[in-house]
Amino acid sequence: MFSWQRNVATLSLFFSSIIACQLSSASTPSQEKLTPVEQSYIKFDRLVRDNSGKADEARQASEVYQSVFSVYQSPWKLRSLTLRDVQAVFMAADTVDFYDPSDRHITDMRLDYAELSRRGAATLDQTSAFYGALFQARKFEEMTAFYTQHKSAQLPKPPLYFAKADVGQRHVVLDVSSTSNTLTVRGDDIDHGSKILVISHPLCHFSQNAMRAIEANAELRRVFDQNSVWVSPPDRNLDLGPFQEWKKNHREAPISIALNQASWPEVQIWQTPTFIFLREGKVVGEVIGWPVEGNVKALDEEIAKIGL
Amino acid sequence: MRHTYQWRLTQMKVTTSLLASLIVLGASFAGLAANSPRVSVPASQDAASALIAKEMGTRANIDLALAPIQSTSALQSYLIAHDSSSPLNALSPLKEALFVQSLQFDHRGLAAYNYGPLAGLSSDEVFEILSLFGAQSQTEQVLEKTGTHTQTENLITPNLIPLKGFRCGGAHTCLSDSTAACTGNC
Repeated sequence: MFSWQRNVATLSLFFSSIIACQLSSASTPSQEKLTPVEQSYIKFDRLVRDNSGKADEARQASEVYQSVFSVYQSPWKLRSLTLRDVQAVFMAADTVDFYDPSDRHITDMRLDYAELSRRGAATLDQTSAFYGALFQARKFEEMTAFYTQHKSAQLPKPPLYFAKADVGQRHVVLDVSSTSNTLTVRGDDIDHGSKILVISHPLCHFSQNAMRAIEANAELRRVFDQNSVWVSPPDRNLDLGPFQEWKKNHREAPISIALNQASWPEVQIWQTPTFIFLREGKVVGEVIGWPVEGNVKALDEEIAKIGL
Repeated sequence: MRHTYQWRLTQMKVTTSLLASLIVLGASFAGLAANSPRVSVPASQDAASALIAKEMGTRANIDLALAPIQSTSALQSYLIAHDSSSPLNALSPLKEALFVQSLQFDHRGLAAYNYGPLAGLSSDEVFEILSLFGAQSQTEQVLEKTGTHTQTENLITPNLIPLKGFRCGGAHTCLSDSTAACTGNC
């Protein structure tokens, strides 16, 4: 499909969702009080939510954002908007940057936050959202400056960050220190031999349950201890405590944080837990999720396929 | 009977302290009776943590079972009927619309929600809104501006801390979602 056809399709979806929302009986009396920009944001939020978990969620969110909200993203245009509308535009930039982190979206957030600050109207949650976005974009220097300028917001201290020049572009993670608020960039090798890449998060109860089941099974434990790489999505959670706690309890399978999505092309959808089975760097199987009854049989089958 | 957040917090702290004290005392007496140095304080703390987690989990399940709104249809009825006394009135029109739009239910009740619109509310306001859905035990987590949890909290209630920035996925996963929270209830 040509890109203009794709754009038309995405926008058609957006405007269909507007009509669907207007027809929806679940609309609240307060929705009638929304401004047109706020209504656009509500529809955008719904579209993003409906596409959540789909492989092209970032592209769709970005295209709709570009068509509907980027028109507001200049200092003079923002000045002409009401406060409620600036808040809605900030939320739109925040949302699109979450799914499609980019310098362009961070720049828009910066503009909106500056306008909110100029009006003396930036709230703690907006301050916190922008700070989280800087973390997700790995803009550690800007985070530190922002933290210093916004002491009263009681933001969490920015982590110390150590970069290494030779890590390359693929399979890059932030290694969480066991004892301090420190992140170190490191490259993981999943391109050689048979490997299991586990997308997981220490606060995800499905990941916790999966790890419990793996540790309770001697054979699975052996395979995972020797051949797995545990990586969390590049999200905005700044609290490294759960990673340290996990590391303490699961020394052979610590969870690192993906530097960004782009360096992990094997991951189509960042959901936890997802077990990706690789042989010489090629994906040969996948097991998604951890239901109450577990997924041990599926893991055994995929492990056999990669000869572990 | 309508309880405030502070009332509930005090009640939880008292219960937690009592449970922990009883277990540590029990372990100490067991150690004395057996005259064995092997009964260690860490072991009794683990037992206390497990029991407290179980107690809090049970409490959260009871909250869910007693919640006024446990399904999408109950939510729709509530939205049509709710008046000026509704806790949802503490939210701006945009935030109310966003919060309502984000609510997801499963067979046990509330499974996921967008906590973002609740930021900036007082503890009582958040508590009262979450009480509509039986999720009031998550008030403290929602209130946190920083998302920082201490290790002790993680140890005691590992399944009760919602994973922010994710929602419950259909395939028994937590899935990226900008301002939702993936809870132990899905």
